[in-house]
Order: sequence, then C-alpha cells, then structure tokens
Amino acid sequence: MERNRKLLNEFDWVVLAIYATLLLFGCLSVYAASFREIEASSFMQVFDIKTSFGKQMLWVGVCVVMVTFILLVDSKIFTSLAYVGYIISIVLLVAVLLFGKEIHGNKSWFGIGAFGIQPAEFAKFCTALTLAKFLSNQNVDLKNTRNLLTAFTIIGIPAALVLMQPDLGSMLVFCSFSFVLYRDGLHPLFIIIPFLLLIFSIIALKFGALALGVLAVVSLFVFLYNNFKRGIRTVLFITLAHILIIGYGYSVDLIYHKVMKDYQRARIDYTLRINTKQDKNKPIIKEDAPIILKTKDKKHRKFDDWNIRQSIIAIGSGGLLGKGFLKGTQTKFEFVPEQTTDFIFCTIGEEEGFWGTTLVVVLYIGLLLRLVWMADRQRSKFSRIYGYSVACILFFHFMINLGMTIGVVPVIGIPLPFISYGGSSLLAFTLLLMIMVKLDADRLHVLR
Amino acid sequence: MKDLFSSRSLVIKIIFVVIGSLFFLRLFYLQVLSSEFAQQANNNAIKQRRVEPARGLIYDRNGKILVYNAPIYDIFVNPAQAKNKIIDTTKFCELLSLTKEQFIKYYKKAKTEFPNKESVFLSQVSIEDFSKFQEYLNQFPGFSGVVRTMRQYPYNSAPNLFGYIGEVSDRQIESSDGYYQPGDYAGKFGLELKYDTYLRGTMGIKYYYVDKLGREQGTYEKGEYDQKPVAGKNLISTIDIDLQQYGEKLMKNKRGSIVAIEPKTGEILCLISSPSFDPNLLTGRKRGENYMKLINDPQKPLIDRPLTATYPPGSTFKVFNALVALSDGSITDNYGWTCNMGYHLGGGKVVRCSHPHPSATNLMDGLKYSCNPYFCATFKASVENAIYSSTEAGYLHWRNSMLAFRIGQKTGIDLDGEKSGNVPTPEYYNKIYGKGQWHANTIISLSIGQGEILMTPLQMANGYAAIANRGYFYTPHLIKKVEGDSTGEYKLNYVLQKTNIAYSFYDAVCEGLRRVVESGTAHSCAIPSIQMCGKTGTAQNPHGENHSLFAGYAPFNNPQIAIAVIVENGGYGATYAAPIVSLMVEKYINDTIETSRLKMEKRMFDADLLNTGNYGKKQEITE
Repeated sequence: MERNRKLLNEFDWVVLAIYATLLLFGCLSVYAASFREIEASSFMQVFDIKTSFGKQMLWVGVCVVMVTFILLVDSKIFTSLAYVGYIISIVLLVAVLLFGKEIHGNKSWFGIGAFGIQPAEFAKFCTALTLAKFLSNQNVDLKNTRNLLTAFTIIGIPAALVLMQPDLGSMLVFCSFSFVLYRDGLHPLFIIIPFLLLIFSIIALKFGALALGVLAVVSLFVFLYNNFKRGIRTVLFITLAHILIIGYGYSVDLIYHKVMKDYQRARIDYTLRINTKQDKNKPIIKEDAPIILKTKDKKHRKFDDWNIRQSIIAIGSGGLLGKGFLKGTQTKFEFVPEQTTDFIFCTIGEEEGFWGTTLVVVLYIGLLLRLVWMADRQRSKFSRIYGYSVACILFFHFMINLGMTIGVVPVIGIPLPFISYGGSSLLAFTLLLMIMVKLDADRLHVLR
Repeated sequence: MKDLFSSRSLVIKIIFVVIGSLFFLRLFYLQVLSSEFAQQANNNAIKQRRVEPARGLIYDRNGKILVYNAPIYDIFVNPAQAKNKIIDTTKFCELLSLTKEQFIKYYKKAKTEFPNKESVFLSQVSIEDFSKFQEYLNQFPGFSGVVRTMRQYPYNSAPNLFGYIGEVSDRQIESSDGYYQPGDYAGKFGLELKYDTYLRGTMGIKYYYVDKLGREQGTYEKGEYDQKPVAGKNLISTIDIDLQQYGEKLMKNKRGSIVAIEPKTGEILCLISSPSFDPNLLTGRKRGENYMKLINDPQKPLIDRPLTATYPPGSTFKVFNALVALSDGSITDNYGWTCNMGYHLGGGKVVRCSHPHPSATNLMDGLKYSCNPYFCATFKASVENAIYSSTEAGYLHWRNSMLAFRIGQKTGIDLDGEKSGNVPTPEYYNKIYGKGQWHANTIISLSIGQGEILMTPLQMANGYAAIANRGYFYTPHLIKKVEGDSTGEYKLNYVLQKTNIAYSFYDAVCEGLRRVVESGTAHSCAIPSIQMCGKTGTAQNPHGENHSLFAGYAPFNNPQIAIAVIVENGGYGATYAAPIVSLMVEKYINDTIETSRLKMEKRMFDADLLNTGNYGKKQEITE
C-alpha cells in the first residue's frame, strides 16, 4: 500500500498535466471543428456516438482506462513484450497492405465496424520499445557497424512498409529515430548530411540546379584553398564530395520534373514559393490525385494551395485573441478541409487566436523538453532510449503537422498528437507517452 | 562520455526550442502582425446581397393607379446541389410549361457558366405558375425561387408613356455612379427611364454567411450591418386616364395621334398614339415574343407618334403665320384679300384655294374660310416687310417667332425621343437658291403649312396652348408631382415660356378660331354647350390620301384644354380630326356627349381606316 502511494507521487505530474491539458484542448477543438455535424445530430449531442465528438469522447474514456492500467501494472511487461509487439506490428503492417481499406489510394486502415485501427501508429511505439530493448543490451554499441545496421533495420522495416501504403508522413516520423541514435552515440554526420541534403534540395528547387552548382564550385575552391596542403587524398575527397553535390542538385531537379506527380510538385511550389511556368494544357492538380492522408471521409478532397491558403487564412484571421469558441467562420463553414484531423490546429488558430496557438506551442515544446530531461535522468539505457524515442516521435508529428498548417512545410498529412480527432492515434500516443511515465516512475526501483 | 552525451542532449533540446521559436514567430506574423488574413476570411465567409426595394407607382391626375407592382418569380438553380439527384423532369416541365429541350438547354447553360453557384434558370414566371410549382419544390433539389417585381398596368392604355423596365445596360451601369450592377432591373424607356432615379428607391444590402460551396448559412451579425431598402417614390402624372382611354377608343383602327394639354399649366392630359397595344404585353414571360410581334407589325404600333411623327401642319399652321404678321405690323385685324381661288406666284404658278368661299375681308374670316391666298399674301407681307433689310432678315424674324412657339424646336417634354420638326433656316434656302436669290413667293408653301415645314402633334397642341393662353405656355410635361416620404410631396417646377408676340395680337386670332368652329370649316363639329376654337387642316400627302388635322382649344373663355388630332390618310380635317377633337373636348369638360352628337361619336368609333384599303399604298411618315 505504501509502495503504491509512493508510486503515485512519483508519476511525473508535469507530463500528466500537459497531457490532460492537450487532451482537453483537443476535445474542445474537435467539438468546434465538427460543429455542423453536432448541430445535425440527435438530442444527446455531446455523447452521440455517431458524431466525431462523441467518438472522441469514447476514445478519451478508453484512454483513461488504458492510462490507469499502464500506470499500475508492472513495467516489466513492456520490456518483455517489446519484441512480441514489434513482430505483431510488422505483421499488421504487411496485412494492411494486403487487406486494408483503400481510401484515396492509401491503404492505412483496418475497419472494424464503425471504428478503425491504424497499424502505423502502433508500430511507432513498438519500434521504440524494441529499439530500446536492443540498444539496452550491454554488448551493443552503435560504433559497431553490425549493431548499427541492426538498429537501422529495426527502424527501416516498418518505415519501408509504411512508405508502401503510401504514408510519407509516418515514414518521416520513423526517420526521427535517427535523433535517438544520435543521442546514444550515432555519428553526427548521420544527422548533418541529411540536413545538408535538405538544404541543397531547397536551393536546387527554388533557384535551380545551376545555382547549386555554382555555389558548389565556389565552395570547392574555398575548401581546396584551405586544405590543399593536406595531401592528395584529402583533395580528391573534397573534389569528389563537391561533384556529388552538383550531381545531387541535378538529380533532385530530374526527380522533381520527371518523377514527381503534379500535385506533389504543386505542394512543393507553394511551400517554397516557387513560381513555375505552368503548362497551359495540363492542370496543376489532377482531379483524382491520390491524397497522402488518413481519413475516413467519403468525399474526395483536393489538396492544393487553395487548401493551405484556407488554413493560413483561418489561422491568421484569429488575430491576437481569436474569434471565440464556436465563433470561427472558417471553421464553422468548413473552409479548411480535414479540420477535425490534420488541420485541427486551424480551429485553435481561428477561435483562440494567438494566445491559443502560442499556448499549444509552449505546451508541446514544454512536453518535449520535459521528456528529454526525464530521459536523461534515467538510470537504465532502455528507459532513456525509449524516452528519447517518445520525444522525437512527438516532435516530428508536431513539427510536420503545425508546419503544414502555417505554410512552412509542404502538405504531409499526419495528426497532431492528443488533439487531432482519431481514436487509434489517440490511443497509440497515449500508450507511447504513458509507458514512459511509468518507466520513469519506476526508475529508482527497477533495474533493467 | 557523459559530457559528450549531455552536450548531445543539449543539441536536441536546442533543436526543439529553435523549431518552436520559429513557429512562434511565424504565428506572430500571421496572426498579430498581418491583417490580411482577417480580411480574406471575411471575403470567404461573408457575402452581401442587394435587396431590391419596391418600385414607385404611377398615378393619374385623379389618383387612379396607372402602374403598379406585381410579384413575379425567377427560378434559380444550383447545379452542384442538383447534381446526381433524381428529378422528375416531365413534371417539372409540365408545371412550368417548358419543353424538355428547353429544360436541357437552360440547365446546361447554368451548369457550364456557374457549376457551383446559383444562377437564373428561368425568369419571369407568373405567380400562378409559381404557386403550383412551389408545392413540388422539394422534389427538385437545387432549385429555388426568388420573388421579383414586374410592372402591371390595370388600364391597358398608354404604353408609349410608361415605357418599360428591363435588365440594366452597360451604359446605364456606367452612368449610375455605382448604383446599378449587372442583372439589376431599371427603367429602359419612357417615364420608367426618365424618372428612374425617383422610382427605383434605394437598394438595401443584406450580409450573410456562406460556406465553402457558397451556400447561404445565415444572417451576419443578426442583420445589424444590413441596410434596409428604401421604397421608390410614387409619381403623380398629369394624364387623365378616362380621357386617354376615350381618345384611344376614338382612334381605334386609325393611324395617328391625339395630344391634349391643360394650357395654364402645360400638363399633358392625354398623349395618344394609334395604333397602340396593351402595355402588359411587354411584361412577364412572353414579353420577348410579344415584342417581336409588335416590331414586325406593319402598322408599327411601337412608334410613339405624338412625339416622333412629323407632318406638314397644313392649314392649322395659318394662325402662327398670322400672328407673326400681326405682331410685326405687316397686317392688321382688318386685312382683307380677294381669293380668286388662287394666289398667283408669277410664271404661271398658282396656289389654289381648297374650296369656294366669299373673299375674306378680315383676319377672322380668313381663318374661318381657311383661305389659302389670304395667308400667302400675309406671309409675303410679313417676310418682305420693308422694316427688314432683306427677305432673308424678314424670314429670319419669322422663323424665330416660330421657334418661340416651339415650332421647329423640341418642346422639352419629359420623355425621350422627341423630334424637333422642321422650319428651315435661312441658310438652308441660301444653299438651295443662292443668297439673295429667293423671296416669299419662292417659299410660299410655308405660309399654308406645306413645303418643308414639319411639326409633331405635340408641337401642335403646345402651340395652340400658347394661343389659348394668349402668349405663353409651360413646358409640356407628364409628371406633376413626386410623392415624398417624410419630407412631404413636392411639385416639379416647370418654367414659363413666352412667345415673342404680345398679348393684344391674340384677340383677332382667337376670335377667328372661334368662328371656324361656329360657322367655318369645322362648324359640323360645334358643341352646343361649349365654345370651342380651332383650325382644321388637311396635310397633303404625296403617297396617298391626305392627313386629317385639327388643332384647337376650349372653351373660348378661360380655356381648359388645348388639343391637336391627326388622323393619317383621313382626308379633310373636318372629316375625322375635327369631330374627334370636339368629342374629346366635350367629354373632358362636360363628361358626357350630348345626345344629338352620339351619332357622330359612333361614326368615329366605327371608322376603320386601317383595313378598308385607304392605307393600301406604302405610307411614308417623315420621322
């Protein structure tokens, strides 16, 4: 008994408080964003299972039960079930490609009655647990190439399967695990090089491959000037690297023009503010372009810069204090598509304004920093790795989702954790987070 | 080891904070710094619609409604909402009397031009048709009805006055200072056009929310920002509708005009163009069809004859000729002239008198007998009077006097399209004959109202109104009052116009005109109880039967009405025009026709000049 009471005190109240606040924000926002649906529904509006809000409340209830279960149960369960969970996730990811419901060209869902399950979300935290388990082994070191490859495989298999759905957003989330590895010994080049490639891509797309080439040549001369004394091998290496960069620029150009589909090009154009000359005969967006989006909506939605403009208008029109709960015109009249799921942030932006959006940003960053701090204070490597995984997964969701709604990231559909409507993602994120809380609470008691 | 990792942990934390800060700054820009988005949000979600006010009504001088508003419906369709729904098009067409082809055509037009918005599918649906249709409206998703107003005319008269309303033209939009927008209805012709700014009221504005498909979602801010429409002002016209209808009846099956003016005020009592048509034909769904029929009618009912048809005034012009000669001293009341059935011009040319009569020994008799030589001589005496330096100067003075009567010049009536008639300038004759090469005898036809001289029936009535007033008149007009709102009614001001002939000179002329009716060329039309004055005219028509003219006023003392009638191809003035004038006068002043004259009235009603071959030849009307 006493042990239990002590345990209660040791659950990190900061994380729990932020979780509860975000959940509350989420419920209110889903209510506001699905207002039309609520108006049309039956008497017990708030809890009508047929409405989005009703369903969300149901899932909140499920999560509360889950939370209680997780926090009370022995944390050894998580460590022991890690590999099993991982295997099951892989199986489900394969299965969904074969048997899942196809929506707008994506196979991401299993439908069970009126509800759905998304394997990708659960795969994320199973991978986290598995990775943690693998790396917590004393003998494993990321400097060892074989171990490194194993780690990449653990991340890579679900990432590839997810990409086949195709779900670009979730695939990127899997890439976030590289930060986790970085924290525990991965060479920084693994982070720096992709980052540089991203910068090069942006330069090549916005200013042209030629511009990138010119920059590369300039940089080549600078590097050679500083390093030509270092010997022929260094010189060759520098030259080769720069040639590769120039080549990269042109291959990006090639992919952009030849491989990418129209709507993908349009999204990049909009984000990077590229004004490309349009082929008069070809429309920018094909009516039946597949949407990278997880949604159960029957109506087909076109994602193009109209939608991002609507999103920015909705957020921007909120002003400092917002238009007030249930008073947002863009939300009420559904100018922003997917406003209960991927674009839920627009509702907050319009109705709560700058103070609302800032609060959400602060809460999220606060949560992330708290998680990193928690992870660092773990004695066991397992808990630390898992903690970083949680933080990175949530970070990528936050960055891509929010970035998309405010127009700095191209449209890539992933939910905003704890706030977006969606039962299975809510459950998955709750599990993800609460397992960490439990592990953290146990940190002084359990040796792993 | 620990340090390396703790610095890595720091790197990760820094990345989190940096991204968070960048988002914070972007949000700050979007939400706080930039006001563009609030505006755009409003542009998306808030739309405005203009609310049409009730158009002003028009009353006659006795308060009878001449033009009023009736509801009519436009049917709108939103193809986005009608798409993929099952619609019983047979029933639809049946209810609205459409053919299947028409339905498909109109629907296709709406779908191509406005696939996601409401647009007009069918306009001007009568209230009867719409009420039937409305019962089944819920079976036709995507279709809705909007009420509009159309004009109705309880008296099927005077279409040439009221004009009509229609969709506003680009030019009207431009000159409306931003009031009108495409699709609005405005006055297009006649009084509806002339007084459009009074009649149209002020458009209201209603703000409402729309969703992303443009569907109306409700009133914005409970209508606090809405502007209520202001109803148009009513107009009181000068017309006496009973007189107008009586005149139209008298002119049935004849071509021509009647214009009657109240001399003291310039108020037009009736303005009749014949043949005419029911103004209700140009409203409602069939208006296009009806308009085509009217335009193709060989009798040309759409022409507004009182204002636009010009005729040589013939003998009715002799009074004006006489007045000028009196005022410049060329003749006096006692001027006499031997008729000899002709006035010799020299070179064997003669102006014949139209009928045998005793020679006129004074002006009154000259008018009474309508002696042509008399007035040829009068004209010559005036134009070639020694007080003028030349014939040209004399003629110039003569012409200016005519212009003062608004002969050869527009009267300025408040309708569009008035013609000014023609009194040639001296320069005109100079060009034809050479300066200094022409004299009174050259242009002698003018003296008896023939030759180049042309007048509209309105100018004739107005000229005789000036005579009735003995020297002045008011600009003839059709609207006397505009009904105000809280500011009260206000009268429209019309300016007094003076002729340049002094009051005293009119006595002889008026007496002459009285004798014409009492014992002269129009004595068969004399009214027992009223002293009517006037002058017959027979306008020569090279293409067919002459035109029958009569212009005059009554009563001799304290005139109430000045009136001009033209019956095309009616022969002598006394045959048709004079009787019609006398009947109009008697009707207006006494309200009934005396029993002894009923036979004449019937004869006028029944006279059918259109269908009995008198109009066989192609009729040219100088317009």
